[in-house]
Amino acid sequence: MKPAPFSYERAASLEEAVAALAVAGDEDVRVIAGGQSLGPMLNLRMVRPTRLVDIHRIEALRAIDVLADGGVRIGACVTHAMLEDLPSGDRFPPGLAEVLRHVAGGIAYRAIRCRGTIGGSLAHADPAADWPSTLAALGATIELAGPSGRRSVPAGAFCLGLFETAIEPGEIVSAVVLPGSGIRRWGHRKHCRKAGEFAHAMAVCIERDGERLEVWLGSTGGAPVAIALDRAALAAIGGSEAQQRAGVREYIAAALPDAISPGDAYARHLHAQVAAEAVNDTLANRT
Amino acid sequence: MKMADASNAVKGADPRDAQAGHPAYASVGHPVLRPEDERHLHGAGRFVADIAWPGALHLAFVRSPVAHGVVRSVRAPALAPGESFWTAADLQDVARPIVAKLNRPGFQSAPYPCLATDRVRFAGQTIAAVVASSRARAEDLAEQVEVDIEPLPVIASARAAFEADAPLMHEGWSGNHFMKFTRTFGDFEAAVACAEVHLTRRYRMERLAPSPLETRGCLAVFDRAQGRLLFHTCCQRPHIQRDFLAEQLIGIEQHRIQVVVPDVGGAFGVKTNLYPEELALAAISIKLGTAVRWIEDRMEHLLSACQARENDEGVTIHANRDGEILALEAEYLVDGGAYSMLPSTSAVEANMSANVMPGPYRIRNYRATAMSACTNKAPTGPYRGVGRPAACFAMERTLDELAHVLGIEPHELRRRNLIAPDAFPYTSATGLVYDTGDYPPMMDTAVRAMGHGEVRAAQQATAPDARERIGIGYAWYVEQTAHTAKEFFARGSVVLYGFESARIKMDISGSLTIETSVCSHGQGHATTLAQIASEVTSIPMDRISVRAGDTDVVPYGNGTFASRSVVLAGGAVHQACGRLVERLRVIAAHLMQVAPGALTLGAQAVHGPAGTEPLPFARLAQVALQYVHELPDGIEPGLEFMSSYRPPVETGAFSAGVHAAKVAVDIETGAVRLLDYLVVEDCGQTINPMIVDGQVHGGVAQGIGQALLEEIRYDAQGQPGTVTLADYLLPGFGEVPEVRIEHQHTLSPFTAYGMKGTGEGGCIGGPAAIGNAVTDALRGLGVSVTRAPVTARDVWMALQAAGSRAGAGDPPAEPAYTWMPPQ
Repeated sequence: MKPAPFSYERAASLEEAVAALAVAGDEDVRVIAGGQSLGPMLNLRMVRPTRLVDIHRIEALRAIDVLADGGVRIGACVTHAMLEDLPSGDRFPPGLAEVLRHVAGGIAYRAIRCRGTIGGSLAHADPAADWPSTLAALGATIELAGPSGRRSVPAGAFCLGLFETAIEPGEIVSAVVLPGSGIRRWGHRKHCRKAGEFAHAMAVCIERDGERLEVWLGSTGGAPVAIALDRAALAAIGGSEAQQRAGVREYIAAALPDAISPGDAYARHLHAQVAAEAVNDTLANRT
Repeated sequence: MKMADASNAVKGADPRDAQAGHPAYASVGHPVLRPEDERHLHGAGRFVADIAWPGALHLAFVRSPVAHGVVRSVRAPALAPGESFWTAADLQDVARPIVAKLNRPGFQSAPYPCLATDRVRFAGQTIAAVVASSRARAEDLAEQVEVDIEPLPVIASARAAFEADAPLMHEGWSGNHFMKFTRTFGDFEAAVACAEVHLTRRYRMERLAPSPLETRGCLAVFDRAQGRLLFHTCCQRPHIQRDFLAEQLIGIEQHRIQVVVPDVGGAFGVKTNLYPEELALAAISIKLGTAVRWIEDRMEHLLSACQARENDEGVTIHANRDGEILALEAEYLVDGGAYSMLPSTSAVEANMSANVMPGPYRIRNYRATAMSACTNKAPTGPYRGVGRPAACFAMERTLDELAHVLGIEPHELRRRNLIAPDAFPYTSATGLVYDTGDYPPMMDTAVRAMGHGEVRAAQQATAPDARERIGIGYAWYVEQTAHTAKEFFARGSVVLYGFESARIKMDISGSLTIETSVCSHGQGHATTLAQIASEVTSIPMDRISVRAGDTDVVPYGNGTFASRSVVLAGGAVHQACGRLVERLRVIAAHLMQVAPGALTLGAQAVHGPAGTEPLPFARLAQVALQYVHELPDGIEPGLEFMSSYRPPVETGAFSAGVHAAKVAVDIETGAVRLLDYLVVEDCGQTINPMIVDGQVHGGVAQGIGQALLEEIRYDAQGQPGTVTLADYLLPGFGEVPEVRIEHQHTLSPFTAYGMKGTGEGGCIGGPAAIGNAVTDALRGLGVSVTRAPVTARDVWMALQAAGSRAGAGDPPAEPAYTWMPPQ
């Protein structure tokens, strides 16, 4: 279980990294940051790049900045552990740090969180990863740096499918930008058979002041999926806690796209179940 | 900082204090910290992969991508100087194919070549090998090898092996079974006719990968000048491994083979076998006359190392209405894989399951069928527990079903059937001789410690629409340990494991070296064996070294497996130390000019009558090793004592245990959460209770893995679906709760200190106890556990099915049982 031969270079700056990505001939160049997904895939020879460009030492990509408009810019090489350990009492928009801490702290194991990065997770676009659905629900934009400068893609439109993203050849995820508006209530749930395992179902629900509930499902086998949740319908579901959860679950099950786990009743149930739990957590909690 | 100073032994409460009549020991029975942990905690352990050998080449195997086929051609890659490529034809003059045999009627054996000759029979079988300067380079070359295989129909399950159109797996066989038999014990038919209730259930235990932290690996160094093979490996039995290598390799006998086993990171039975990979490595090293290394990666391990279990079970209990079992019927159908492993064979699981099924219960009338099928999957063999987890699952799950049918508490039903304390020595229906046991108090302890009544009360108080349901389950087992030659002979084993050896050396300072024939793979022999030596000699632990795992150093013996080391190697140390002490007494008596009987031993000295100066061991050692002119006449110089211990009774010392699990089942997801896990165990006198607890904890983790997570999967074409640890789920700290342990000490009458082995018990009870607890939680919902692992998916699907049956007014799915009128 050793990788096929490849050449390796370490970029000292984002500009250097972008320049290094300029592909010559039939070269297959890949960016490596924390290497927590790419490493095993290299060793299993599931990917066989001819060259790796290592960006994890680029200091500028490890910054977390609060922007003038109140938003937050997270560098692509910020690790899950750095987000898990976000100090409280900073100038983040209300609720945001709690969501980031919770989601980051639930990714795999601490050892993996210490190396794995938010940008790497997005670029890799494993459907079972936590960030694609979470950042979509948070209304984030993904910043890409390429040979012709920088551009931004809404997180909800970033992941296109299984290991597929909006990244164009020659581009690198440079940052994630989160909006400055506060989060009123939120919920994030996933179902794993064991701690740290890739989730079989995952859902996040974000409610901002005066806005609708953003419900996004992850672990769908493809890109994260948004579920339109009508407040009126939600309000109509009453009864005991169990009945309410069942009601929300049924509502979400009805809205679940047919393409998600077709023919697998349990998998479809789990998607609706964790989404109902995330919605219920949201309604029950106030940050 | 020094981590564990063995001389500052932690002295815990002696478990025997409460038992009148047992002596209190100075070292035995105390939770002494393990000196060997210091190096492991500092990352300073030395495993096979850590052995630096300048110039050693690396080997990678070319493995079959298909489950069954005829190998038409194998084309070599383009090699650079110093690289080499090997197929079966290149090794046939050095290595014989492995043939595992069992001396039992109807057993069928077949050659298992180190590299496939003409046919491949499972995906992952070794076809060729490449040797290069690094593992990465060897893998590059291995993937360039072109293999042309003509596919054959695939047998992907035990049942498929017996279908009329199934291809014959091995030439000359009379069917696709390694072995099958039915045996009847007692007056079976008459007992069945007397029974009032007959209850049949079917279960399945999935296939497992034993998964030690350290995978397989070896470094073979053939020295042409000396004509000697130095074989570093991570195995459980250095001398047996040397015997196997000598048997398989052409033209090299044992005296020219040295097997060296450094630290071993877990083995669990998977490292008792001689593997084709190991044989190929040794053969290629001999051919090349150089050092070659193969360190298995996890994917290879999950593809091709010995797998286990995969046991389809059918059980019928014939009982009275009051729960007394009158007769028992069991059928085990095991998917044994493509080849038998040397030496335990693919029949070991089914045979053991059938043999041990009656467990701690007074069952005299018994019929068992055991079938081991040959299929296109990786070979199976011994994994901690061997057959007992399956037998326990079948027996204990069915007892809970019977208890439910009869309206008796499961623990009460068990109590009514346990072997009575005054029945020992007890010979089981299948002929196992249980030395001692005291089972009823263990059941009482488990029920009390689990708060059984409170669980029942909490279940009563659970709201009908509650999301979580709690349940409690028990599982019993007995564990035959330290059985020896006659017992293995009776089972048809070709290799007989009759004894273990120890050589005790006292040096001139009076410190001790123990050379033992057993081989620790994490069990802490360096501590337990030293404790026994310390107990006999009064020499403190920090003045005793234990050496193992080198056939040029340690005396011949069989190694570590089958829960035998403490009794047999401990017995050998006990015996050899006794001889040393006797010699020291004789020398002291001569120097003091008193009768040896007037002397006592203590504090590293021999003490004479009151008023005389004690003679320190160092002084006596000086006489024995240097000032030999002071020795009494007729006493040989030297202080080395070799002892091979063969127990007076060969049928083994029987440990026993009850596992109890309390679970919560989330009926909305099917997920099972362990709330509490208790083990009540009895392994006689414990030498080091902390190590016994460690054995239990580790075993329970594996039992939990089997109960809830682990499952090797193959598709209908025999393609493995679980070749990484992302697919094959092992339990981690998050899945293993704190395990509570209650000890009982029913001593064996024929072992030193009354000890019994305890290596395997921890992993036997998990699937049954957890399966019973989940079933108990879901009783009102019409769901019972029939498969291990119990997955959330299975539970949820079963709940849906039960719910729709109930909605339609249909009876439960399980054709439960038949009543017969009392006669």
